[in-house]
Amino acid sequence: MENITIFFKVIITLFLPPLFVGIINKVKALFGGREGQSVFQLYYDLFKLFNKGIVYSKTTTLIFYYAPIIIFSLIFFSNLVMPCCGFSGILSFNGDFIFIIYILGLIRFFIILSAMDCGSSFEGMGASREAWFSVFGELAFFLSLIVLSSITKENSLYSIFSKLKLSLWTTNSAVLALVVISMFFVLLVEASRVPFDDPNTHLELTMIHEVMILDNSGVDFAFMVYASSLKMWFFASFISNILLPSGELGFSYGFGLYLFSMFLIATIIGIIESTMARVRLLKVPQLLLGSFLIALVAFVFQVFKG
Amino acid sequence: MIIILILLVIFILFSFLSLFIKNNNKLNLINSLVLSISSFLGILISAVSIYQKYDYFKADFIYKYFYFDYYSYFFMLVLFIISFSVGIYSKDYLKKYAKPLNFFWFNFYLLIISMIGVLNSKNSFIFLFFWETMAFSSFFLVMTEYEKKSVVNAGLIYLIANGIGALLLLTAFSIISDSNGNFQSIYLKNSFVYLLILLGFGLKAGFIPLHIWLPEAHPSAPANISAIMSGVMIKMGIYGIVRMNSLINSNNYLFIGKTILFIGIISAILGVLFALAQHEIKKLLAYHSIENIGIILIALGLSIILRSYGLYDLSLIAFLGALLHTLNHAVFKSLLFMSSGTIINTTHISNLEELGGLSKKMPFTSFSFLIGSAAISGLPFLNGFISEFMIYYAAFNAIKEGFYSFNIIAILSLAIVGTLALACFTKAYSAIFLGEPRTPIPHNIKEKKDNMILSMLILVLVCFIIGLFPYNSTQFLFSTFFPKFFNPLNYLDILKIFMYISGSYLFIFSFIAIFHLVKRAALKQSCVEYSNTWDCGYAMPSPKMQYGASSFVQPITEFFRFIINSKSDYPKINEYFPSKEYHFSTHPRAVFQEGIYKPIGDKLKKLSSRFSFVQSGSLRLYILYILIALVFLILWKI
Repeated sequence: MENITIFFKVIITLFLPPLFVGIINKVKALFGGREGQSVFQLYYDLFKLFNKGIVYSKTTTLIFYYAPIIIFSLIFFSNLVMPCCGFSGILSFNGDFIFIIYILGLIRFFIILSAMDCGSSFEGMGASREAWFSVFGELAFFLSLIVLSSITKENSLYSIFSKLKLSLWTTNSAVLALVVISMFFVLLVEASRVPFDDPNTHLELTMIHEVMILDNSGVDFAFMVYASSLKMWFFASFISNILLPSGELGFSYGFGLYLFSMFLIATIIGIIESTMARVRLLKVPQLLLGSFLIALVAFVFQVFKG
Repeated sequence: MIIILILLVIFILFSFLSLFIKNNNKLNLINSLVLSISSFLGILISAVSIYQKYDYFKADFIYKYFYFDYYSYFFMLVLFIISFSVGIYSKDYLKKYAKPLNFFWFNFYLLIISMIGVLNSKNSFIFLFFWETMAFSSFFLVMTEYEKKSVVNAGLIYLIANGIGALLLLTAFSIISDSNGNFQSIYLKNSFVYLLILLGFGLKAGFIPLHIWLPEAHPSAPANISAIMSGVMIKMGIYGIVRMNSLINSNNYLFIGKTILFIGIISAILGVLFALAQHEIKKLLAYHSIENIGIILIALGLSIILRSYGLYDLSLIAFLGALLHTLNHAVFKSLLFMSSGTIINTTHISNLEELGGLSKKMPFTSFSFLIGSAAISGLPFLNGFISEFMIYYAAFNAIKEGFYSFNIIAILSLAIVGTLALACFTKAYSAIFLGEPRTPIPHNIKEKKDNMILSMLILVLVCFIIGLFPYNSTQFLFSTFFPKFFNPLNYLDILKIFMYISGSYLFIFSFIAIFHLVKRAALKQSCVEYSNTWDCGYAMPSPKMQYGASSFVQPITEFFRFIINSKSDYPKINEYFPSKEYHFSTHPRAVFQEGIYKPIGDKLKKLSSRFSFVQSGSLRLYILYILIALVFLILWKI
């Protein structure tokens, strides 16, 4: 059974994340009254990119060459560690989330360096913002994990999420809801979505993620785009594990619920993107500080409850 | 122990010998050989001789005044690892000096001898003797380039800081030592003495607000000396605090722990923030030393707090995390200082804003700096992560036990320091090595494959060994140096975690290999072109238009303006179409120096000038003072 679930996990993390982006785009299109692109559009794009040639800037070094693969491998690994539908990831140990957060830090390290490697001031802007906004994102992520770990008295992702049952929502609803909201902010900032960044814009002075991969092309660009959808999938899995814990349902139902909750989260992101405008860049730190404060409130609730 | 004595004799011998060698090249060659070989022996010895139960000759008098225990051996290991690589590095680095280096090498040996002495002294007088020797020899080393005015200024600040520190320690030791002046286990009712010790050692360790000598002295010293000072010498302050903690029993452990934790958090966060604003590479590294001392203190404080809660296992893990971070910081900070020395040696530029694109010209230095940057940001695969993980682990498990307050503060401050350090080092690395050169750097720059590169690669290897095989390396380190604490049962859990971490590295490596093959396969059927960076349609980009170091961190420095408070200079532009050149520049301030120490110093100067009549210059008057003081002391005793 273990092997089968791991096999499933590898298949899911390899093939479903682009669909997640497709659903978001479809929701946005429907909200805008358009028919929109197919939900499978990203697959076509990736396929196309894989067959395209690459243009490397003469300024770049080996970092630029290896960064896309390294980033993709790291985020792929993080996804495999994330437990879903009641089954542990490929490995689980005490304090694994600290490891994963630092793996995400390594991804950031490489994406910033690969952006700075081109020596373009556009990409520098994006890199600078990525470095700065992640400070708050990581703080909120850590605080949310502290709250979850103190609710469940567990210290690994798998044991936290296996103790986090639907019934906990009846006793800890406020805390869990606040954690989910805070993590949603983290998802939006880490995946560079509205209201922090607009993935649709090209060549605006306020972009973050899109501008960092401006010089990537061909296979490299495909890896980068794929990695960013995997990153979204990672955070969405995290939220879905809190929002609709599917551990008790057994494999097939649990799996169904997991997919449903991912679909739900994609829809919510789509709705947020079509109803909100991007905030002004200078206000972003304040908004992020807000998400940290939400997690802090959740923590205070948790401490004073028990 | 006996081998340590032999090493000391070698060092003393060569320190005097180096005063008489005329030829600089010969001097550097001999001394770097001696230093690296004997340090290598020292590394082996400090790992082996801890098992040595018996002694070849009865030496009670030595054991009476000297420690040869776990702490001393561990810190000596740190010392020898760094002096080994710095020894190799120095041979080629010192080529740039034309003046005679005899006195330099003499002091270099003296510094190492005195550090060994500090680590082993059991007697407060001997300790202070070595402590002062360390201060003076390092002062002379800092003053190597005494022709520059800034160096003299920095040396002066350093000298004053050392003097005050020694004075505080003298006071504290007079209270806690026994009648022979030996250190003893002591029970303290009040924390006053502890405060003295903390301040005295803190001036050496350089935590905020006692740090002001650090960002002055490190950039002024030659790079190999900065590496030794930042890697090892400031750790003597940490050693002192650890040693005193092992001696002092107190009923308010919790208070002491909280104080150390608080100091650690302040220095870690402020250290990294000040580092962010710096444009000068060695100053930036100096501020990061302050940050890392902060992290070590966070771990120490946490371990004391957890012990007072009764969580002994977790407290031990935090404590071992602090010691491991001491070793790790020594390794990667020396690595960074040494690579910065190589950069400055070849380009003669130390300002980040004027560098760029060096990666292609200096691949090995670039690689070393990259590994050092990743390690100091605490990223996985390298050693910095392992020690930070141990601290996080202790804090998270204490939360599980229901102890919230301090653990959460520790975790969050570690998190914020980690992310800011990442921002700071991506800035530093990309400003130096990536992009295009921002100023016309001479084209004939070439990296010489010499001893400097070799020594850096050795430290890179150490970073990777501890980082990739945390299980083996921590087990080896802790079971060798701390067998007293090291009960394998206690550590099963964290060692098992280290196995998992190594295992995940294997996974990640295999993923990277697989996807690399995928990329290669995809590239095979498509063409690869080389062109300029896409400049969004703008036809004439100049290297000056790249994102520089200060523009990279501008959002952060702007947000923390109330702390960093950089000064910016720019003219007011009134024309709609500016016709002439305008310049904008920012200057980071030494906040504590300008805001706190300078006003106090000025006040003191004013006050003391009123009493200048006391110092009249007349010898008879001075003898009278002595007489009065003696009479007063006699009367007081009666």
